[in-house]
Amino acid sequence: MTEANKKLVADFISRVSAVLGGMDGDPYGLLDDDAVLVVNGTTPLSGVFYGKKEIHNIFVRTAARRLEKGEVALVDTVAEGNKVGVFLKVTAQTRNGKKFNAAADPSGCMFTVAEGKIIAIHFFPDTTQIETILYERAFVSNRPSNTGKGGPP
Amino acid sequence: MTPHGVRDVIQRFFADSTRASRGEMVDPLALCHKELVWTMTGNTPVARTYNGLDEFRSIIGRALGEQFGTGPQFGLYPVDIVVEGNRAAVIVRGQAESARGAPYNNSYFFLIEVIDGKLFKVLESCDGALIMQSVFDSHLEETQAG
Repeated sequence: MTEANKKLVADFISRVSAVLGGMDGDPYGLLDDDAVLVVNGTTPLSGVFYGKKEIHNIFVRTAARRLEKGEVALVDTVAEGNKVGVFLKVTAQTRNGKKFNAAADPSGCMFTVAEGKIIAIHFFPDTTQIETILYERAFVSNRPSNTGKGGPP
Repeated sequence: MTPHGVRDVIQRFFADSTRASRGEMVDPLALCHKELVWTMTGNTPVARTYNGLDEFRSIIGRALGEQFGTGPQFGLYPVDIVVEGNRAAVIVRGQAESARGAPYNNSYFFLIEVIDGKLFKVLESCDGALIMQSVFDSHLEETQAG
């Protein structure tokens, strides 16, 4: 059961990577119709997306407006029962020619599986990179003595 | 170590952190291995790998004391602990405030390796943008490029 779930998640990640790279993949074929995606944080990509249609129509389409192409690689996996925790390396090229996650930093993600389909994904992306690289915003200090833009105090 | 033992160590680690965040005189790092390797992923000023408990305590332990407030309801709550062998994937919800009173309710994903009943290797993901805004007292602005 656990090994099958690990394989399912690995297959899903490889299909997502294929699609991000411009190839055929159909990751949706491994998602339950009512799968729930939670993206950590308060970025434009963050939130709770209910069901395959919402995941595709809102999350994926929003991300696609900023991403040119990308790649997802599985770094590490821990599984028990119907849960599979992974660390992923998500790298991408933005439509503005910037490299998202150039350092290839890993991001955590928890999958829940039932009856051979993924029913829940809780993703913990690098939210500073989403804000600064994908959406080209800057963190600006609130402290009057430090008015420099573009970095923390 | 049994999966139950690994789960127990992790639960006790976050329970100690919760007690410390509430102002109790508890060492929140008591269940960390002397040779601890803790990696905070991302692009915040604290994101890097800390080698050894002494280094982690002197940098992050001190920062926690200086950059966060304490309060009777603060805490770190593991909501999902997935154990395989001596490793666990853990989702944790936190409730805290920065030292200047800014809300800091982060959610975390940890990959934790336990050796000799202690946290030996930790890989951490969380909302770095929240760290920048709440802990490092900044806000987001649109740039011309954006």
